[in-house]
Amino acid sequence: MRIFSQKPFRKRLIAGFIVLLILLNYAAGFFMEPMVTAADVMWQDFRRQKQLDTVYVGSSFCRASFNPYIIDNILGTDSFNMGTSSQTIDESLISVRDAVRTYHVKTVIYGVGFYNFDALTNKNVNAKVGFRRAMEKSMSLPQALRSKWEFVTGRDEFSDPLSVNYFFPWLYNHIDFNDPDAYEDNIEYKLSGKSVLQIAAQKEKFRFYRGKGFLVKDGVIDYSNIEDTGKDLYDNHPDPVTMRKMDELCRYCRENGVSLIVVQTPKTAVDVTSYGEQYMRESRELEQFFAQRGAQYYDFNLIKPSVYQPQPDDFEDFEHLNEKGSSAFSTAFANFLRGHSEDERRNLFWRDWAAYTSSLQQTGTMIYGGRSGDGKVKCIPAR
Amino acid sequence: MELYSLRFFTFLILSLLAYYLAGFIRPKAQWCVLLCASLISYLIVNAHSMIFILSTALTVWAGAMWLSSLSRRRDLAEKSAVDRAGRKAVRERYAGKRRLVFLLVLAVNLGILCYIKYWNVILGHLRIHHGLSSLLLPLGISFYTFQSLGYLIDIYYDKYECERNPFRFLLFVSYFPQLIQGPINRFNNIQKDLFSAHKPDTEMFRLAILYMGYGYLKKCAIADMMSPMIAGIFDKPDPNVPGAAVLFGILSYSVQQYCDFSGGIDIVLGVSMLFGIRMTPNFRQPYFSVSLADFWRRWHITLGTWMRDYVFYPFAVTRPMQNLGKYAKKHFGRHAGRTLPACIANLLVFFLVGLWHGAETHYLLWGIYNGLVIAASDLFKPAFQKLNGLLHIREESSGMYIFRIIRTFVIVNIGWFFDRITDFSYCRTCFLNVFRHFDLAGAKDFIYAVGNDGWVFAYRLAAACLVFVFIISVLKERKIKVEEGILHLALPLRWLLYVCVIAAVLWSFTVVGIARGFMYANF
Repeated sequence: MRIFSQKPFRKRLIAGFIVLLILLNYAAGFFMEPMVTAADVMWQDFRRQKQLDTVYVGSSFCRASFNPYIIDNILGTDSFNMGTSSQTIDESLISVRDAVRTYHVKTVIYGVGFYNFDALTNKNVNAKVGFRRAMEKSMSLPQALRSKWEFVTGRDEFSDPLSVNYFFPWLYNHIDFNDPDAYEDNIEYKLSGKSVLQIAAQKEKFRFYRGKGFLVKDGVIDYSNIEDTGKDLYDNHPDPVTMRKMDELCRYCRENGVSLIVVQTPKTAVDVTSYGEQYMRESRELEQFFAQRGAQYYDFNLIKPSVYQPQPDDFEDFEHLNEKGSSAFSTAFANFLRGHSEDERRNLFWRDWAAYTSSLQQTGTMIYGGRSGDGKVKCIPAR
Repeated sequence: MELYSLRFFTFLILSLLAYYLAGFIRPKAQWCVLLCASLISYLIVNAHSMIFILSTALTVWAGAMWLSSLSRRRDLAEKSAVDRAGRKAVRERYAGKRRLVFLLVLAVNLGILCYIKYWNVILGHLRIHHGLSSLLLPLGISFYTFQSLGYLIDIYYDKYECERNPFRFLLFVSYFPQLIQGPINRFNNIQKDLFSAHKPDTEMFRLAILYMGYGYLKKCAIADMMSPMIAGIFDKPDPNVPGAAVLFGILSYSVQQYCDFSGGIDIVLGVSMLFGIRMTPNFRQPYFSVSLADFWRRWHITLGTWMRDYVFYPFAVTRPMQNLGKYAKKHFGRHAGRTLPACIANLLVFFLVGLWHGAETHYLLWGIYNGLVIAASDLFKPAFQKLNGLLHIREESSGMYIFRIIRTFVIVNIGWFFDRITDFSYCRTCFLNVFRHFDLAGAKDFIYAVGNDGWVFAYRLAAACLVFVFIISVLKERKIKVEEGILHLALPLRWLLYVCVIAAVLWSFTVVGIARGFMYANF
């Protein structure tokens, strides 16, 4: 019963403790939450656009693959790449909604890999929080507060530790703890009074930011180095929960008159072949899934060489295109959309696994080189 | 319900507000709020399984009422009987009826438990792939079934009066803090707290928060930190796994298992204290045990006492066991006569403990292993005492005490092999590799290869927190009232401690971001 007869001093102490925790949390956020991430740059630049009719959404597969400048040049569109690292389907849907609401975009191109359909991928809390924080920084205060509320009470988050920890965003969205320079730089940026895009222009990482959300990857995969070519075998497969969310994305696009095109972005052939024949089967199932929901699905790993043919030096790593690769892919992709009707496009893909693998041998793209001792696969160019 | 989520905290705060508000308006009905909160919590998490908990509550309540009514009628009939033979006849008549009711209710509830929990596993053992049950395991089914059956057995033996109000009994079965992973409460112990009126009590609140904080520390900053590494070592069988890595994995599992289970129990004890209700503690520094039997008196205490009271004693005093005792006494001496029935009862109890965890072979082996060790240590006790005498070892010496603790720790950890490594052949490989392929250098590479990103940091954090848990455990073992001590610490020290605990819990999420749930929530 003593709770209602507490002395004012004790009440003040409790209040003081809570204030201390809030201050500590704020200080931790100031030191550890990065001011400029790729998601920050994307969202800030997105808000600066005058008009858009097309957006590309998805994870780094999307970000590294679609060059809006090249595609716009061929198709005459006005597009923006909203891809961010490990973007989950929830975040892709948020991006699409924002683009439709703000710019009334008419086409959404969703860049994916099997990775994006996996359940665990879509629980990447670091990516979720990083994306949300960047988005909220680009919003007005009421919008940001609403976004926070929607997030912590969201279907998946409300019953998850994330709903509590979102009030401590530095837990998930933080600089490299082991890099002392990162703390110094971060504080310097925060005290400089410059905008995200101004700071991005100074940072080495964003040397490869080409604008319109397009942050290219630098370098070429070193096939002689297992660190570059070796990779744990992929084992990502479409998951029912994820597919329900995909359904939600399709429905949203349909209801808002937005054309949805889902694209499996190019990966090294070793990625594809490591799945074996199952890859083609699952890819076909995805094609049917999206077709039933009024969306188009194109797997650019199974496209015939007459349309698009990735070269060994088109890749920055095991699964991402570099700038040369993305230029080639973006050109081929835009021409593919411009030059063929929907019916014609369907005939441009391999439907037979044996034919596909034999084409890999003939065309000299990377082939499956077998597993190394530690269970990784190794890719080597066929010639 | 995830105990570290906004949904849980919102639910808890709203329940507390409603509970204490009801306490002011109508104290006698305060428990109704708790019942509503418990049912809502079950609906939120496990709506599809509501029917099972309701049917258990209803059948056990009705069965107990029936038993009670038969007892009353028997007593009346016994009073009106004219002679001793008449009284005996009445007792026999009612005993048969009561046994029938008791067995019927027991069969219904054990039947539900077995069907839901064991049916698919049994079919799997028999390699039958049709007729599988598609029912999901209801939350806490083993806990609430055992708790309810404990009550039924108590009523059957006329230990106390049965609960006449079905809703009050439903609260006893569905009380939400106990549903995730126990403890298995006894009706006569919790009844008073559960149904009496409570007013907000600052001291109880402070103690509750302390329990919860300690629980979250153990769960998040220790158990969850080790979980990915343990999975990396044991979930993908590798015949060349270095023994040193296995040892590292098993010791980690030992810590994880304790901190996960006891951490979760501390949280729910704290949650319950917020409502003014003290539940039975389930742990008492188990790794300070001096024997495996002692370990089981300190680990999952409520299951141990349940098994002791409702299986061990009733089984040990059955006529065949009594006869066996007499036979053993006659042929092998007094010690064998006294311990042999107990040994067999222990084997049965630990087989059931294994089965309680699951019908999978590795659980059964783990249970049998525990039973065998306890039985053997009882049976050979005189030989050990003789050996100590020959070696001039003083059993009360502190050296012997420490030796016993270490010996028990080793024995318990051998048991964890069966518990954690689900595939028996891999379990055997791992165990043998500890002796024939220790490979310390190779273990380092193996551990680095299977470890998740940030595992080194995770282990450092866990180790730091483990030191704290160890100190607390040593103090508790020395009968020092740690909770009171902390609550009476100087303010800056106390706050420093709170901030450190909060920081450790939060920091743990930089490594393991997703919810992992409780290991014992699956039972």
